[in-house]
This record gives sequence, C-alpha cells and structure tokens, in this order.
Amino acid sequence: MIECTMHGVAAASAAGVSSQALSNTHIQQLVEACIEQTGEALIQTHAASRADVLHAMDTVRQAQAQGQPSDLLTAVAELHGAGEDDLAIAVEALGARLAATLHPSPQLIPFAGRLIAPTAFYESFDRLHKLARALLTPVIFAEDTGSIGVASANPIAATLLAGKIQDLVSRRFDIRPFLTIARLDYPSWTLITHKHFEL
Amino acid sequence: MIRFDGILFNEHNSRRIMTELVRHDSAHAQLNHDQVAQRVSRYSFMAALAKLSGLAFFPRVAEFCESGLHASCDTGVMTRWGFAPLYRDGQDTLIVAIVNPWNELPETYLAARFPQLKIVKIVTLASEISRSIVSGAVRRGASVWHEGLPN
Repeated sequence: MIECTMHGVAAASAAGVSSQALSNTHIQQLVEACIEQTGEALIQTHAASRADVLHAMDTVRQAQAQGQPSDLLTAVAELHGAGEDDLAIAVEALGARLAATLHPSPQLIPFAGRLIAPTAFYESFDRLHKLARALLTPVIFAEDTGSIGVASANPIAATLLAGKIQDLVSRRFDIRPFLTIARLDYPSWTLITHKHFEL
Repeated sequence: MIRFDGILFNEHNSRRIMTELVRHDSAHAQLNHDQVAQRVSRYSFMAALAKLSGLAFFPRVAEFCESGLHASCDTGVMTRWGFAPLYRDGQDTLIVAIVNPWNELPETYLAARFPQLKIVKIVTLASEISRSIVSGAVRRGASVWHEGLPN
C-alpha cells in the first residue's frame, strides 16, 4: 500500500514538509505538491495537454487562495468541456489514468464514501483534518490509529494525505499505521467531502 | 506458523506477516507465531495481510452488501472460504470481500458465476464476512444455517 506510492510524499519532504508539524504553510506546500504532481501525471499519461494542465492549475490555485478547496481533475475535466451531466464520467476517467501510474493501483470503491466519518481521529489530529479538507481527501476510517483509510477521486491527493498521516501518527504513537487508499466515484466524492468538510 | 481467525498460514507467509507486523509496531518483534492471535489486533493483522497482497483493507463492509449477489452463491461455500460478494459497480466490476488473500478459491468460484465481471478483491475481518452473509440472507429471506453457522 502506501510505501509503494510515496513519490508525492517524497517530493513534499524535499520541500521541507515531512518532518515538521502541519502549519498552514506546510499545508499549502502539500497542496501545491499535489497540484504539481497531479498535473505532471496527467501530462505523462496523455490525459491532458500541458497547456490545459497549466490553465487548470491556475484555476485551482486561485480557488485555493480564496480558501475554497479545489482539485485539478475537476478543473481539467471542465476545461475539456465536461458539463454537469458528464463531469462524473470525465473525472473518474482521469482518476483511473492517474491510478494506473501508482503501484499498487488504488481501486475504485464507491461505497467507501458511505463509511461513517472518524470524528475522534479528526479531533485528535485537527491539522490533518485541515490538510484532508484542502486535498479534498476524507479519512474514511481510523481503527485504533493502527489502520487508517483515505479516499478521493484523485489518487495522488489520497497518496499524499496517506503519507502525511503515516508520518504524524508514527511520531505520536510510535507505531507505523497501515494505510488503505481507495478511489471514489464523483458522486460519492462530492457527497463525502460535503459531509466531512462542510463544503 | 501463524493461525489467525481459524486460518493457518504457511511458514513463508507467516514470516512475511511477522515482518510486516514488526514494521508496524516494533514491540511485535517479541512475539512468537503462536502469540500473534492473542496479541495483535484484528484490524492490524488484516491490514497487514492486505498490504502484503497489495489490496485495500476495509474494517466494515457488511452494510454495503448487495444481498441479490448472494443469491448466486452458496452460503456454506462463502462461509468456508471466507468471502462475500459485496457490490456491483456499473456493468463490469464486482467488489468482493475476502479474508485470506492467498486463497484463490473465492475468485475461481465467483468467476464461474459472474463471468462478465472483473473481480476486485478487498480484505476485511472474518466477522464482517459472517455479517455480510447473514444480512444478505435475511434480506433475501433465505436460511444460512443449513450448512453450519457462520463464524
């Protein structure tokens, strides 16, 4: 699981994020790492042109700067002309392309969006909740903090959050939690981010 | 060899499981194989299996079980082999909960019954498999007891 898909976290660590507490600056750095890595993966998998990705990145950064979480997959899908009716299909297709670049490839598990929010975990790690909100990646379960799950339409965002959770939980509890990463379909993703983050 | 929730893992896989558990919590390095069932939580153990097999682990799945899928399966077989078909995603994917990722019998069994579907496995607790089987049967009004009680 997470060890095999840590390239995002490695890049964030290189930016000085990994070994420190999660300040607002660190959260912004991780969000920026997510935008950049997602954009790079979209280009490498030929899911979008560089010009489209750069345009969508600007859109996402502007939204983030206004405190409104936003994801590159949705921005690219909208840029490609996906309307309300086909946005779900377009976002899921982009997510599948990105998932194929990760090993193991996070599977699409739509019912993961129906698990009960781990409020105690969020309360215990309130900065992680803030990061999860910024990455639009909910924590879907946390059992004894030894086994934790995250899910998103964007598997790179989920991988980044999983890495940060592993880092912070390890330091607080001296155990290395097992992380599950799942992909969500667009309706489940929209619903669960609304529930977890009051968006 | 490790025995956990009624499953006996071979020597090779037991060693791999122990390595994973020690990486998770260094205190587990003190455990013998026969102490694992008493000293390691089910969540951690099953998550370790999932990690070793590259699958996702979900601690709760029974609530999401589509009971209609169970009509095509024998409850005795599901109980014995530790699996439950859960969820049909669109036209081409069947999500199946399993306990032992090294047991290929569930996939073989389900592939024969749902040949048009790609099977996606996730790991869960044995108790969740039992709950899925029972809740599926209750919703269908079928009996699950004719081949023995689920664990």
